[in-house]
Amino acid sequence: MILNAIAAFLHLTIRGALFLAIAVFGGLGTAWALIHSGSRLTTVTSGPWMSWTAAGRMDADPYTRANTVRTARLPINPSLALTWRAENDSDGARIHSSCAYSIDMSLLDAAWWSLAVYDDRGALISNPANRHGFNAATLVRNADGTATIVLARDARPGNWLPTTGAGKVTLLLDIVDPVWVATATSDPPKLKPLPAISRIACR
Amino acid sequence: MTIAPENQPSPQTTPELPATIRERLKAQTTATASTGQPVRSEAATAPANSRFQEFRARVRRAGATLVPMAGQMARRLRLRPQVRPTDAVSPDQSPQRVTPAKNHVAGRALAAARATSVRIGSTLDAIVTRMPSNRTAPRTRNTVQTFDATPPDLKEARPSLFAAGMLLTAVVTAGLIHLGTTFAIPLLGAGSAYATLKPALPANRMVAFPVQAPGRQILPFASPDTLYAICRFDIAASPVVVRALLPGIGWSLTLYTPAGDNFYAMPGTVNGPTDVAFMVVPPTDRMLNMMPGARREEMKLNQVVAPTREGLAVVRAPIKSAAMLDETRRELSASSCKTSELAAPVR
Repeated sequence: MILNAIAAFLHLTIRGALFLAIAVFGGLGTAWALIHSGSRLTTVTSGPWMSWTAAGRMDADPYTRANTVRTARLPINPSLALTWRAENDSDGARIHSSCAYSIDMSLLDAAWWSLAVYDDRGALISNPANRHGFNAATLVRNADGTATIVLARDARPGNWLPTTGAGKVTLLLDIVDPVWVATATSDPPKLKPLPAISRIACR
Repeated sequence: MTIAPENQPSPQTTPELPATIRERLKAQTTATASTGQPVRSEAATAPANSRFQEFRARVRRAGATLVPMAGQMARRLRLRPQVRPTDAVSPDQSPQRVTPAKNHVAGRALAAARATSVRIGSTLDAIVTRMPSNRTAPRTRNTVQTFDATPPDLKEARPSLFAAGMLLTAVVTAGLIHLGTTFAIPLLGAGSAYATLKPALPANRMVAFPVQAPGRQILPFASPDTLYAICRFDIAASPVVVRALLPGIGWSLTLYTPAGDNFYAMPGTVNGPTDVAFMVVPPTDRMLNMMPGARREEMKLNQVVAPTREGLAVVRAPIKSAAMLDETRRELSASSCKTSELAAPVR
């Protein structure tokens, strides 16, 4: 009799746990995933770069608006500017301060852009060089017009962007050029090439 | 199944069992009569099903004995008449009767006890009926095959862990939680850029922030190559006039709702400086320029209809080099945000 009661209790407990797992964790988990990472319906990707296509628009979808609120952003209307975000390199591996990366800026032809590096929470990384990003005016190009930014924790010649010991880092590329943006968001989209992020070496 | 005489309920307190229990008792009695086999006591049957039936029988007996016990308790508490059903009552011997008021109380107490015992018995019966039975237990020899009085449809419908109905309900609930969470975040606005900046921004005044640096960022992912001047406009009392000079490409003036929707944007161009000036008005004040009376300079300004009473006006200035930082600051300081003079009384 006691065993039957225990069996019934366990039966009820397992069913309740299963229901909670599906309902609560499934509902919250899928919402978090779509709000944080987006989907094909709400974002556009180009290599390692991702952008929310409707960020800042008055008719944005609920997931984009939730992402804007959650990340405390003030996005400019996507008809004038686009913000691209990269958390992985071109091979899909997470960008980490223990590794050095090469960012090829040669093919980026927007009139104005700025590239900055942040830690996982969106904070600028403290470093002795007091350098946190490059823009269209401060990037040093080679004689042949090519340009490369090196992302590393130790000093490098040329366009060096320090990551110090921040751990997982995120790159943000702001492009404020209506002509460039109009081409990228045309129908069909003619995405212009964005900088490739190649891993050089890791410690 | 027989009930011991001392446990036999009195006629006055016989509980009215639910119909399902009566039917099962009747079916079991009929089955044992039809087999013609001597029925052993339930304790003698070894298989798990018979132990199951024995447990159910004990539950029924427990429910049936609760009412007489309640009656005895009521007698002891002198809440019912001191007359037993077995006592002979002669015409010249009137039983002691309690007062009408106490009789009413006793009757209600007995009725409540009766109803409670029936409910307990039927509930326990329903629980044990739904327990998964041990169908794989081996049967021993020389035992009577016990008739299971559980209705066939109930046997078929015993729920399993992965019932389709439960899964469907869970999926629907997950969907509702998903939608509720997605729509609630923008409505609540907690942690948004507006909520973060509001404490540092007075109403209707442009504030220029220093260069973004570690530990001195106004917002997460704020650009270190940009100077920001932000105005928290509040047009509940009167319109707000916003002015800015955008010298070239990379500059921008944007207006936002508290949820971060960009409802107005003016970029700088490569063609030269752009002088921007407009009045932010609520939707109901669109006809301001039609007002009679003295015309003021601000009435000639373009009007931008804001969908909300509050919001942010942000001027972004690109820092093209360290050497040009001071000049950029001067150009940014030309930006302003103030209450319209239309709010002042006409003299």
